[in-house]
Amino acid sequence: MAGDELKVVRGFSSKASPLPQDLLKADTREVPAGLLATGTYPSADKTIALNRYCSPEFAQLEKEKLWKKVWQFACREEDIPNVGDRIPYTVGDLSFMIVRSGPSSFRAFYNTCLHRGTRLCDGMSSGESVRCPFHAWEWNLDGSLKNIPSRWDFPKVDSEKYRLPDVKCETWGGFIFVNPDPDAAPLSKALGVLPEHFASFNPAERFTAFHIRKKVRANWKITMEAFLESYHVVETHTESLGFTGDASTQYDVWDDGASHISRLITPSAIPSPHLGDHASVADAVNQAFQAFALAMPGVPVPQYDPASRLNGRAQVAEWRRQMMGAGLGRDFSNVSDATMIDSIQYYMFPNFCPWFGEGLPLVYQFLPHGDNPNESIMSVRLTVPVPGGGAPRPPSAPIREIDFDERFDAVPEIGLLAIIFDQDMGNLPRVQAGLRGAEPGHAFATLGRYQEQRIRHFHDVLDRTLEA
Amino acid sequence: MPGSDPADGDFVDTIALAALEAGAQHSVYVGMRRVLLCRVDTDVFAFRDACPHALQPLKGGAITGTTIRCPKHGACFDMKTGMPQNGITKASLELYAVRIRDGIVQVDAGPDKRPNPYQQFGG
Ligand code: FES
Ligand code: FES
Ligand SMILES: [Fe+2]
Repeated sequence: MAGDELKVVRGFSSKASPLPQDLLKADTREVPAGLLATGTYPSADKTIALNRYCSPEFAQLEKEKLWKKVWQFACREEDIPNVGDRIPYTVGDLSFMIVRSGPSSFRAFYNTCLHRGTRLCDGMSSGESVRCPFHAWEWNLDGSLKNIPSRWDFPKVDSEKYRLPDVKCETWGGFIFVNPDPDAAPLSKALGVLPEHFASFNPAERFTAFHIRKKVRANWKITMEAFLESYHVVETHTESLGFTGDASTQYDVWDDGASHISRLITPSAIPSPHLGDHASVADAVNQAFQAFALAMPGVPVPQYDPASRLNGRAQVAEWRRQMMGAGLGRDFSNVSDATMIDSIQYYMFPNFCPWFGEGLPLVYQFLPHGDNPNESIMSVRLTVPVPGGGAPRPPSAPIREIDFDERFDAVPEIGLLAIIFDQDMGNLPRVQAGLRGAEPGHAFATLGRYQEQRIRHFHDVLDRTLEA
Repeated sequence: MPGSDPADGDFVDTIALAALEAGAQHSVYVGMRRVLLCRVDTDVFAFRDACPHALQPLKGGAITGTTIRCPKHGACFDMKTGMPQNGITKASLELYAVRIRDGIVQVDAGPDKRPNPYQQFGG
């Protein structure tokens, strides 16, 4: 294709809004090596057939070749803090029960009773054994059969053959992953650059401060792709432009064949390049102070200090270090400005989106909903460092379910994020409805070569996975 | 700052009425809500600065009489009742009560229910 010879433009900056790698040079602290690393997967043009977002056959193919075959993010260790705690991980119409089987060991089982097929675990629950609600067949936490009522009536049931079938289950950084493929390579192969890039962030030493599960009337890929680029910020989150480097966002992809990782770095406390070379840096800093303060009611909102020896971004970062340090009894004094304030989001194929840094320390998970290709579930967590000074680990927040027609606005504790998510959520059913009615000759999406490259990479990997 | 009498709602001070000329629009934060203040002659209207169509800011929308038109995709709302005036959305504006006390525009956008995730633990 002739277009492939065109040089890729790696983001668009302005005098007031430099590219992330230039901002990192002005950081007041040592920048983690991972943030300086850049991706190795080439950018290119791509179109995506729209029927993969709505065809039941395609969803079925994904179930067989994707969800039954790959490492995927299930939950966090702190969701099931005590031995015997369990929680379901449900992806489409597959479901697994994740159990804390020992003080620091986890197992995942098919969430289906071996008697007549009842789902064993519908939500967070606990106990020394797993007991089916229908006739009380019962298993130990290691999956061995414990009891069958009226055992005399099942003379052919061999206890060894009626162990609960399990699937591979491994952890990294407090995250629990499962893989139903018994022949799968270890999780470490699928994590790629993540352990190295997250070393300074220590995700294991964090807890879930809020946890939302939102039902969405859009295919899981449509929902996910809306969060893989900052190209939509200028239209969908217009009021963020004053303090967000949307068009200057840096996108990186790493793929060694076994791991498929991508990242975006959207700088904060600088104006959008769309606002031009003369956009106000002071306004950007003040708006960033305001945005962070919205989640901290009662905390006075600082103002940009033009006389400070610190630049604006460093001022916001320093305030965040002090606020978080005092609130959590931890020391953030060596944490880089970028880590304190920027929006840095990683993605691991197929459903895991951990954010890096204290700017926006979220974790997303994207899942098909039942066998309906037009529906999905997005889970959003905010993770916070566990308090220092020997304070006890705070409990994980309970899951707040938000139905199709409910808004994030119903969860005021997430501050400014509520309207941002609701703006995103507004787009998704429109995309799903629109793509199903596309003109047959133009039933494809056209991706931006740089800003939408993470979506392209996702589909490259999906193609390879489904063809395997 | 809460209003003088805590029993009569959650009114908070915003800007001076004198700073809002007839025809002017001004957006302010009340708790976590961005609120648009619009002055039409002597009336001041206050509503959430998020058009219910796609939650975009209404600020800068053309005002005719007491109708404001969203700059993004053209939804129109009556600022008196909040009611939509055309078909693009069936949802209404989120209107807030306004009063003037000592020359200050006060707005009641409901109670502020946000906990602070960094201040409830340790420290
Ligand atoms: S402009 Fe991007 S989907 Fe319509
Ligand atoms: S956001 Fe107002 S008309 Fe669409
Ligand atoms: Fe968004």
